[in-house]
Amino acid sequence: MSSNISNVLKKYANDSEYVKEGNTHVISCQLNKFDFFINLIKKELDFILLIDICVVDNLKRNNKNNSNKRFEVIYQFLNMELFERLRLKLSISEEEYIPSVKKYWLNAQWCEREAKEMFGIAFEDSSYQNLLLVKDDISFPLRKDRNYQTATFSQIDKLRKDRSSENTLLSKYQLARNSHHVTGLSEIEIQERNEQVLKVQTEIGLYHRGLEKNMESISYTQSINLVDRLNYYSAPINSSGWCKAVEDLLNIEIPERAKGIRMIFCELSRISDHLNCLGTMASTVADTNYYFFSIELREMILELVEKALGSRLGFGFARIGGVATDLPSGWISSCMDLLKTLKQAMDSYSKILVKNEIWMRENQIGGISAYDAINWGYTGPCLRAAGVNYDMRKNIPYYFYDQVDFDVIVGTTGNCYDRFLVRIEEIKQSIKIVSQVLDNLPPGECRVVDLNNDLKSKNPNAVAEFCQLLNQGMKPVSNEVYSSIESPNGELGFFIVADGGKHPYRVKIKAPSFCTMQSFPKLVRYNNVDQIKPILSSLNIVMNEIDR
Amino acid sequence: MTSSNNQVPHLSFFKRLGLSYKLRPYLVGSSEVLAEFKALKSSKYFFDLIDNDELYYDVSNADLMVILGSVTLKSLNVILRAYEQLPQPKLVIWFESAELHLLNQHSMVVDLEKHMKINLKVNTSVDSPEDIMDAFIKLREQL
Repeated sequence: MSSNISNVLKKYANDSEYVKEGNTHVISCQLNKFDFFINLIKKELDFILLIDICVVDNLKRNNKNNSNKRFEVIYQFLNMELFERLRLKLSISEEEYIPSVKKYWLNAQWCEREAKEMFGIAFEDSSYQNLLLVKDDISFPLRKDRNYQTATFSQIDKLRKDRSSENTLLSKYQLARNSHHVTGLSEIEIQERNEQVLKVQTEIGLYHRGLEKNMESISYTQSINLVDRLNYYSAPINSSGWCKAVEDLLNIEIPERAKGIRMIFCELSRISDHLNCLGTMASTVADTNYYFFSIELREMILELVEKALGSRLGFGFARIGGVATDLPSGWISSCMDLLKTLKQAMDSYSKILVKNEIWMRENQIGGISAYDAINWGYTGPCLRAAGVNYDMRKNIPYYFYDQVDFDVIVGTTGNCYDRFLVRIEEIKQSIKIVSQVLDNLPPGECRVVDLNNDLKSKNPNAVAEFCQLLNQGMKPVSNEVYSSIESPNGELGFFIVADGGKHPYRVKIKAPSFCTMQSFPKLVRYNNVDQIKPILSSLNIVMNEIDR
Repeated sequence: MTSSNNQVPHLSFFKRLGLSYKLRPYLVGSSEVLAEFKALKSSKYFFDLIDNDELYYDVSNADLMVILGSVTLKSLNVILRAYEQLPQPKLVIWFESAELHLLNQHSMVVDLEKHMKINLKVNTSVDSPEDIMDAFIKLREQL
C-alpha cells in the first residue's frame, strides 16, 4: 500500500516535483495543479488528517526553490492507516489566491486565517478575520521584511480609543478571564435562549507573544527556554519535542541513556498534566476537594523532578544531543516509591469517580464522533476517546516506545466521561512505562559529546571547539524537517526550515489544543449553559500553546 | 460595577491585611506562575496569606490583581477593564515574563506602568512557589 502511494504520486508528479524522505512524501506543485492534488490526497490516498498549514516567506532565503515565487504554503497530512505523512508545497506569489481546503478538512479554517493575518496570503474565502492579532491589524508580522522592536504607541492609543467608544456589556467579559476550565486567558461569547446554548464565539490570541517570529532571531539552543513555556504543565515534553526536531535536522542520534531519561521525564510530566486536567474536571462537576487531591499528587511528582533537574516544572531539561543532567544517585529508588504511591492513589481516584453514577450521568455531554474528531484535526486523548486508535508512541514510535509494553486506551463515544476515562487510564499506562524504563535504563553518557569531560582533561581542541560552538552556535545545513512528539494533549509538532545560518529560518509550532479549541463551539451547541465548563475542562485547552 | 463606585477605600482593608485575614487574588494572564499559584494550595506550602477556599475569585470580590506573564496588545484591553472593576485600594502585582526581553515584540506591551499603577513588579523568572510568597510578603511590607 505504501508503494501504491509512491506509485500514484509518481504518476502525476515529475521527478523534480516528488521526493520521499523517510515515511514522508513531499510534493511541490503550482497553483494550476493544486485542486487536482488536494482531491487526490483526500479521496484516493486517504490522507484524512490535516496536521497543519505553514507558510514560508522566501524573501531572504539562501537556498530558494526552483520557483521564484515569494511564498511557499506547506500542507502537512497524515494517513491514519499507514501512518505515513505527506507534505504538499505550493509556491505562490503575493497576488495569487489559493482555494480554501476547509470543505475537506474542517480544521483548515483557523490555519488559513492564521496564514492570512501573519503573511497576507489571500485565500478565496474573503470573510476571514484576524485570529491571533488585534482586529484590523494588517501588518503581516511574520513576513521577512517586518522587524518590530516593540508594539507601537499608536497601536496602543488606538486600542484605548476603541475601548472607550465601546458600549460592550461587562457580562461579555465574564469569561474573558482566567478560569480553571481553561489554562490561560480566552474570551468566549455565548448566545443562549432558555439556558440552551445557541451560538458560541471564541476569541483567541490574547496571549500571542510572537514566539515563532522570535525563534527566527535566536539560536536553536536558546529556543529551548521559549518552547518550555508552551504548555508549562509538561515542560519536559515541549523541550524534548524541540530538541528531537533539531536533532532530526542535524541527523544526530542521541545516546541510549538520554532517550531513556527523556522518556521518564516525559511520562512523569504527562501524569502531572493529566492530574491537573482530572482535578479541574472533577472540581467543575463535583467538588474542589478532588482538585486539591490532584494537586497533592502533582506536588509529589514536582518534588521528584526538582531533585533531578533543579527546577520544579522541568524547564531547560532537554538539550540538543541529550539531556541537561544525569539522574542523581538514589533518585531511581525514590521514583519507584512514588510510582507505587501514584498507583494506589489512582486506584482510589477510580473508586471514587469512575463508577460513580452521578459523575457518569453529569459527564455524558460534549460527545464527538470519530469521523468528526479526525475532520477537526484532533490528536491525543480527545481523539482516542472518540474511538480512534492513534497514539504516536505506538504508531510512529520514537525513543524506546516500541520496546515498552503499554496499551493505547480508546474510548467509544468521545464525550466528557470517555475523555476522563482515557486520561485516568493513560496515567496508569505512563506509570507502567516509567517503571519499565527505570528497570532497563541503559548505562553510558547522557549527551552526544560530553564536553565537561573533555574540558576536564584540558584537551585544547575540545576547548576551542566548545568556544566556537558557544560563539557561533550550530549551523545545520539547509533543510526542512517536521518532527513531532506525543504531548498530553496530542501531537506537538515543530516544522523547522534551516538555510545554513545559526538561527532557524522559519519555525512553525503545531499545537494540539489549536484544533480542539476550534471545534469547541460545535461541541457545546444545544447543550445547557451549565455544561460549558465541564466540556471545556475535559478538552484541557492550554492557551499558551494556541496563541504562541 | 465601575471604578467610580469604589473611589473610597475600604476602611477595613488594612485591618484585613492582618495575619488573620487571607487575601483573595484575582489572577489574570497565563504563565508558569499560574502553575505555581496552584501549588500554593497544596499541603506542602499552604500559604495562609492567600485564601485557599476557592481557586479563582471574581474581580469584584478580589483584594488585589495579579498579572501573570506577558501582556499583549489584545489582552491589555481585558486587563484594563478588570483593573477598572477592582475595588479600592487597587493593588497590582505583575509577574513579568522572560519573553518580554525578546527582540521582536510585535504584539507585546512592555510599558504596562503607563496604563495602570503597578505596586510590585517581579521581573525574574518565577520557578518556585516561594517566589510568589516572597512577592506577597514584599507587597505587605510596602503597605
